[in-house]
Amino acid sequence: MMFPVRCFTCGALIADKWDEYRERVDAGEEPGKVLDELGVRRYCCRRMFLSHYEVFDEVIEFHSLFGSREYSQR
Amino acid sequence: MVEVRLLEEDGRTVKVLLSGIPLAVANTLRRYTINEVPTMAVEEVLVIENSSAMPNEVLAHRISLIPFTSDIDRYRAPEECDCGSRLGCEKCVVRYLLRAEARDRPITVYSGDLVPEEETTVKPVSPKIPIVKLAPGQRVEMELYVRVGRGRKNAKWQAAISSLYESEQGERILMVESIGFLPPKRILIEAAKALERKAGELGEALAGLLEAEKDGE
Repeated sequence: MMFPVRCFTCGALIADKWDEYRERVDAGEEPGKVLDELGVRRYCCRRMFLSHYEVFDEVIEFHSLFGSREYSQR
Repeated sequence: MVEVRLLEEDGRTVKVLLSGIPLAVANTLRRYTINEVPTMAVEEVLVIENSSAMPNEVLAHRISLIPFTSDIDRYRAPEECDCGSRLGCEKCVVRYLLRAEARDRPITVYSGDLVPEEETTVKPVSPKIPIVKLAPGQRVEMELYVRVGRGRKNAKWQAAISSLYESEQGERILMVESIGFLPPKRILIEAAKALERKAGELGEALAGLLEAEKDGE
């Protein structure tokens, strides 16, 4: 699924930092340091980032290739 | 003598030193900053079309978790509003629209894509919260009802992350970190107000009980 909007444990908003985190980590930065700079301090919130895998991207890829665009409801 | 001293403050967090307050009362205040402060979030979703890969209820759940900057002086909770309307009135509901469609390439729908029906100060805390991704041809169209609520009813309205602890000097410190609905100082004040109201209600209930006993004699 997609990255959770709030931290499961403390309820802090985390999703707004996801895009920047992903971009910077993909560019080769150290995840821990990126999280420090984003102000994600508690370990409950940090694990949300570190352990996330964006499965939804694969679903979107599937729908992009095999989705029935012409059969849409409209 | 009850004393409160401000130790640290920034836009997101406050730290206050509490003295002359029993531990249980200080802890109640901490719990109230989380549970009893009114805040605003999406409470009802009207799905007009959703051909995305995400089921309606999952999508609605994600949307409901988006914090909205809360104008709690102007808006009130539907159960406390005198309009009595199921849909709500201008004092208890803010309407938003979400309309998105992917054409040639996949897109991500963000909280910034939510459009209010009228000009309002109640808006998502951040425009960068990803809601759903759409593949070409997929569409979402929904109407959202933003309402006032409290954390005790649903965690989406949780106002803050708070902890109460003792410093090395044995001082009692309350740390309140706002999720974004309200400034952290305001959360503390609202929590104190809620506590005062509850204590008042308890006093009245007790007085009523004693009164009833007197009449019985």
